Order: sequence, then C-alpha cells, then structure tokens
Amino acid sequence: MAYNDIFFILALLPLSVIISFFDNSAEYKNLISIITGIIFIAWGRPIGVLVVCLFFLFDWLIALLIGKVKVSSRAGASALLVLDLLFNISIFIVYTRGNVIPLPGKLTLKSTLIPFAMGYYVLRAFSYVYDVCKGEEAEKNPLYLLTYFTSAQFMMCGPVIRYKDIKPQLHSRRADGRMISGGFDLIVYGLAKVMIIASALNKASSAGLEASDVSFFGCWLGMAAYFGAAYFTLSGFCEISRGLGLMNGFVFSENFAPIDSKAGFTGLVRGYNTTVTHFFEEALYSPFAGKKALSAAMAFVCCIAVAAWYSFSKPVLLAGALAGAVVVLELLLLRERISKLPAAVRYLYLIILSMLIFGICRFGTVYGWRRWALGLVGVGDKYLISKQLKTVIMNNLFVFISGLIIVISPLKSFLARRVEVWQASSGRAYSFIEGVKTVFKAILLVMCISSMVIAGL
Amino acid sequence: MAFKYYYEYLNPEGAPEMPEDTKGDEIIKNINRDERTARSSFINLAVLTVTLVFCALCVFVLRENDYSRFEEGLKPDKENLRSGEFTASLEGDVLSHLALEEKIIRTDNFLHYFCGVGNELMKTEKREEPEYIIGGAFMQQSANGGSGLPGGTDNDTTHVVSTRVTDAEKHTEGTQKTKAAKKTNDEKATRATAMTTREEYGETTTTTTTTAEATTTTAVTNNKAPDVTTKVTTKATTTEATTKKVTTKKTTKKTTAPTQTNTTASETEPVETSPTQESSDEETDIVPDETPDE
Repeated sequence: MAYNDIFFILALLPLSVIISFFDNSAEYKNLISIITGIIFIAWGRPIGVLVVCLFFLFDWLIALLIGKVKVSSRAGASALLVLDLLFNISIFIVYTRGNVIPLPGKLTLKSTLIPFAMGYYVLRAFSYVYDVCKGEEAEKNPLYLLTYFTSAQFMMCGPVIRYKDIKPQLHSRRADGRMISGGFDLIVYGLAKVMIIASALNKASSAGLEASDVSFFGCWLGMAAYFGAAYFTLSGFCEISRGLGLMNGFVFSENFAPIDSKAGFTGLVRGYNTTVTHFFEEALYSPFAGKKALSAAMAFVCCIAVAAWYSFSKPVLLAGALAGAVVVLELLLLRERISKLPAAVRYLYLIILSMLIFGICRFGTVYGWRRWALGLVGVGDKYLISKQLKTVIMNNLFVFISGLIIVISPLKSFLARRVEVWQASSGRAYSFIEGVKTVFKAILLVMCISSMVIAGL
Repeated sequence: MAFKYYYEYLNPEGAPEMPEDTKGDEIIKNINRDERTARSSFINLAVLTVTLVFCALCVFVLRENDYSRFEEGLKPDKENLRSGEFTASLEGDVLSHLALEEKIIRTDNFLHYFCGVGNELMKTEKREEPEYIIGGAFMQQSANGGSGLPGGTDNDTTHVVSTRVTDAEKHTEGTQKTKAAKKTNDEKATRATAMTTREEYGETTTTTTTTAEATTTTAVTNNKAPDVTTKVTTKATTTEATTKKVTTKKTTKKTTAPTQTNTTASETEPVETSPTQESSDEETDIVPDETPDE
C-alpha cells in the first residue's frame, strides 16, 4: 500500500486515528500503530511483512549484541555493525534492485514508490544499529522497537527518523485536537503535491523531453518539470508522513531545506532529502572533517553512496560522481568565491549545473543526454516550443504557478509574511483567512481523492 | 446618574491611578489567540473530516458495483449454494482477480496432480481416438500436439484435471445415473470427469461416447466459461445439450462396446433438454455418488 492509496486515506487512516484515541497510554497507541502498519505493508505485498519481521529480528538482536560487546571489545562491535550493514544492503539489493520489483525506467510515481520506500526503510533500520554502536543504548523492549520498525508513519519516503530521536515519543506521547488538525493539513498538502502538482509536472516533462519532438523550450521546461516532479513527489510523501506522525502524536523534522544559493552546489545537494544526506554525511564525512584533503575525498564518496542509494544504475552513479566532483571543487577552491557572487549569478550557476548533472538521470544513454544538452542551446531543435508542451502548460497553468510559489522560497516566505500581518490586524481578518484556508484545503482534498479514483490507485 | 456615583466610588478623587498591567494584558492576548487558534483548528478539522466522509461515501457508491460484483451473475440462493455453483463462481472470480501468473497456476495444477491430491484411479478402456488417462486426469491430445499435462507449457491445451473438481463432485447432493446406465449391467464403467478450463484457453473440447444402448455426451465447453464446467446427458438415441454459458460447437460420435455409464455431474448449469430428452430424463434416477461402480 502507498500513502496515496484510496483505501489508506479513506479507511485505514481515519480508523486508526479514531481507535488510538480510546486510550491515552503510549503502549496502546503503539499497538494500534503496529497493527495498522502491518495491514499497510501486507495490503500491497504480503511478503513485505516477512521482510519487515526479518529486519526487526536481525537488527534487534544485533543491536543487543553490540550493546553487550561494545564495552569490552570495540572491534567486535564494529564487526557486528559490518555484518548488519551487509545484511541490510543485501536485502536492499535483492528487494529493490533485483527482479522482485522491476527497475523504474523513469522517475514516475508508481514505479519509484516501493524502491524508494525500501531505501528509507533500510537506512532507518541500519541507523538504529549504527547509533547503538556509536554509544546509544540498545532497546530492550521489543514492542517499542517493533513500533519503530512497522508503523506506517515511519514507513514511506522520508524523513529518515532515527530511533534515538523518536525514542522519547515512543515511550510517551499525546495527540491533541490541534495536532490532529495540523496533521490533516499536512496530509492534504502532501497529497496535493503528489497527486496534482507532480502529476502535471510529469506530463510536462514527458511532453517537453519527447525525443521525436525536440524544441528549445521543451529542453529547458521539460527538464525543469522533471526535477519539479521528483521534488514534489518526495516532498509530498514526506509531508504526508509528517502529517500522519502528528495525528498520532509524533513530531518529525522536515526533510527539505530551502535552497541557500550562498552555500553553492553543496548546499543544494545537502538541502534535498536532508535526513538521508545528513546520515551519509555523519557516517562517512564527519569523522574526517578536520583534514581538508581527506574530507574532500570522503565528500566525493558520500555523493556516490547517496547516488547508489537512490538507484544502482549507471546514469545515476555517473550523476553522483559528477556531483561529487563539483562538491569537492567547491570545498577546496570555490566556496568563498561563490558566496561573493551576486544572487542572480549564483542562482544561474545552480540551475545550469544541476540541470546538466542531474539531467543525466533522465536519460538512459549518453546520446540522449547529449541531444538534450545541445537542444538547450538551440542545436537540433525543430522549433521553439512543441504544440503538445504548449497544451500541457496551458491546461495546468494554475498548478505550475502554485508549484513555482512553493519552490521559490523567498516568494513563498514573502507571501506568508503578508498573510500573517493581515491576519494579526483583526479578529475578523483572522477568521476570514482561516476560513478561506479551510475551504481551499477541502477543495484540494476532493481533487486529490478524485485523482486517486481516476488513477485507480 | 447612578453610574456616575459608582464610577466615583471606583475611582475616588486623588487616588493614585491603577498601574497598567502589561503582563496581564499579554496573558489575556495570548489566551485570546490560543482560543482563536483552537477554534479555527476545530473548524478546520470538522470541515476536513466531513469532506473526507463525503468523499468516502461517494467512492463507495461509485464502486458499489465492484463490491457487489459476485452477486451480479449468480445470487446466493438455496439451489446455487447446494449445487456449489455459487462458491465456484466466487472462487473463479477471486482467482481471476488475483495477480497470479499463468505459470503459477500451472505449477499449482501440476503439484496437485503430482502429489496426487484428489486424484482418483479409474479403469481404462480402449478408445479409437488417442486419449490419455493419467492419474484420473482425462484429456485429449491438443490440436498442436501439446502434452496437455497440467503444468505443461502449451496454452492451447485444455487441462483436464479431476483433482479438485472430483472432490467437489462428491459433495454435491446427488449424481445422475441414467436409465441407460441402469439398464446395462456390463462390467465397464466410465466416469465422466469434470473438466477444468481457464479463461485464457481458446479451444473447446467435445467428447462423445456412444454405446449400443446408451449415448453419453460429455463436456461440451466453451473455455471462456468460468473455471469448471461439466455436463453429462444420457439418452438412448439423440443427445442435445446446451448450457447458459456453454455452447455446443462440435460433437463426435463413436461406438464402443456396451458400457455401463456411471456419470457424475458437478458444478453444471441446468441442462436445457429437448422434449425427447425430457422424456428420457424423467426416467433418470438420481443416485448418490458413492454408489460403487458395477
């Protein structure tokens, strides 16, 4: 099952929230979370329950062993950690990169959900054992850990929730009406991002990057739409995940930081899917942070590892290597110079570089990428914009404008500030704006559910 | 006037003015804000919940046909339940919606056959047409020369597996024993086995056995029909059999030695018979399946 499954949104989620209110104890809420999580996993792939149980048992036992061994033998604890890493990686490869689930040809919604979710899951499971090895206490009560391993709130595409962060909330939490309302809002916004904005952007990407219909604007807008679809799909699921957490009394950190152009390309890489990059950074880069050359080399390795986590395919690994090279260059030479550049130049630098590097992921072959890259400067273009792309843009203009407002963080924060000021001016203004927001969210919810029904998800 | 005195009573002349309680004001402001936020949160939650319930109802109404699909073709009345037709259609429907690949289904059939689950031993007889009787599975050679074994790879072969179906037959209330079969006391017995067909298979299979005293027409099936269809009609002279979902395409006749025909029928649509057949059917006895072959 996925978060955008109609059964989940209309039945499992409301029921689980209502039932979890019958008792305020954390143990009861954890039990409801476990049951809901198992239904959630088993609905789509019953074998997933076995995989999750396997993960749970193995990681729980290894963490207990590490907890006992690490005081007396550091090498033994490290060996157990490596064993756990191998176990997690092997299941990750078998489950996501083998024939169990077909490899996604393109970054589409349905094809990427399960592999991405599995990537997050493996990372979460391993992070628990890693934290125990680094000094955290191993969890002795298996029910708490089982909640962490099976709950639907932690299940999907990010953020990667570390056990050490969520442990206090697993032991004691309380969800009030405001949290439930806020959680509901996040779910609606997340669904809208996935079902409406990402869906429209996918259409624009397909129309713009049509191989037989290369056009100048198609190359630019198509690739921008491709990045946008990837961003909104992941960030939408993260928001749904956070909303689910809030409805059940969990508070998670955000997974997407606004783009800081002063931090250059490194900041862009760090800001996307922050919990994942932060984990890899912590495990691979931080131990060598003091040594300049070594840390730069580890930053390169870190980029490759993140790319492999996304997809174990040649284009993605190549993109990861190129991104790593740019990050190394910035760390060693360019960081200061970039921060001194004017903001417009910095944004232009980021846009062109990210399009050229991450555009590789869109094309399976170098030929396709080269043709698209030449199309960016007008070589081989048939015309400025294709009829198909024009139709898609005109049909989804409002959606694209909304997406732009969300992505361009200065514009978003400016608008949010203006609304806040207006709200604070009087009680009536406050009520009016809140009413409009509520109506808007209700309309979004109806639109999302209609999209789900039409898509047959 | 009274208010004036009251005001003077509250604020007597010369009395020091009350200092402004800024902290209290701040607290009151915060309480007001909290209350406003709580109220708007409650309204927000209520509206979204109502919308969600409304959407859920709409989806349910729109998809009602999907939920009640089982009952469309076959309603679970007494006869259907007793004959096993309803459960068979239910099973067929569920199986058709499972994401089972053809290979898995074939492997499952093969395992049933291989492990002998539900297989029955039956006596063989000489036939003019090349027919294969393997472990209770009665099958004809397919047109393209495929093996016809369950688990085989040719999709055009009609897989005839008696394993599960004969079990079902035993549980049906009664089996038909024809008058002709009653009359003849010969040693040979022919058990009409049920025929399993899958939707994917395009061919039809017809088997007709004519004896000197009895004519048995079995299994005229269109493979588009649900999972299992068996039809047996026996009469002395002519045979005409049609079912709701089954159309007769071809019959072949052959003459063999006098045979006692002990036929079983399971999960069969009611056979519409011609007047002549009806007269013969009237003379048909219903005997339990457990009746030993004579």
